[in-house]
Amino acid sequence: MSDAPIYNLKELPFMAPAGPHMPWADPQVVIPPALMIRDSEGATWTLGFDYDEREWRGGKYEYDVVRNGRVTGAYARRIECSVNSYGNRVVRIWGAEGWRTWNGRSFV
Amino acid sequence: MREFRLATGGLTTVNASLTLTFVNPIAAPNVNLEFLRFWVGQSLNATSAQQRVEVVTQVTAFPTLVSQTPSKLKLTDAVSVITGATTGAAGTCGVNASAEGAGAKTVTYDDAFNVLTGFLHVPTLAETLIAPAGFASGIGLFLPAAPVWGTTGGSWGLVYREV
Repeated sequence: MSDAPIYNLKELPFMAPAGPHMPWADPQVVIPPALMIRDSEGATWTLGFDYDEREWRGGKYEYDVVRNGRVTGAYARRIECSVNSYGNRVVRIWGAEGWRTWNGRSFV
Repeated sequence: MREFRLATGGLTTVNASLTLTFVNPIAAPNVNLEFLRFWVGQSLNATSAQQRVEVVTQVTAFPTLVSQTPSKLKLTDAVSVITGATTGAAGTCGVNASAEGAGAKTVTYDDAFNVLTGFLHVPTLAETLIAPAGFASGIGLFLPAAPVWGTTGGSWGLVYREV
């Protein structure tokens, strides 16, 4: 992740970590229509701007998933803050590969 | 197709309803504009609150804006036919209105969002707003009430495609 491409955070400040004063996102907050969510580590999640226009025209509109301004390599149409069966807050994405959960390094 | 982003952050706004971003199609014959995304966020206010937001069309007189040049999403593309200007005139765009102008606004999309998580509108293929070249109105991302987070700390923008 540390070598992953990064968006211009000056142009897109909403992608940057907002700092400890901002609360975690409530469970079931979903992007979109939310713009970003903050997980329990204080990381900011949002959708980027990279997508496949041919797929989009076919109704499969997925965008790159961005964490703290860096692309994760995953594409999705939804990012959700959720609570798993252990009561922990997790970040999940929904896309062509179904639901996947962030394990701290990648979506599985 | 060529796509462009008009993204803004770090500006001080008026403490009233305001047009955040305004794009006015160029005179015909030329390319049409298809709007693919709108967003509004903020990083200052840590208290849960709701904020209304609208996508509007506005006829002349247009808002008074801060000029901003659209950035291209694909590095090898040519620049946009839309250029930055303060007037909101045809073929121009700008951000952060200081005066709204007398032109009537027509709401095309109306929503409200929690300021802690922001607003992202990504219309599907059937839902995108297309403003044809020569359209008498500009397209604005508009807050109908003063931003609850105050005059700083906001970020917003839109993406359009030239078709």
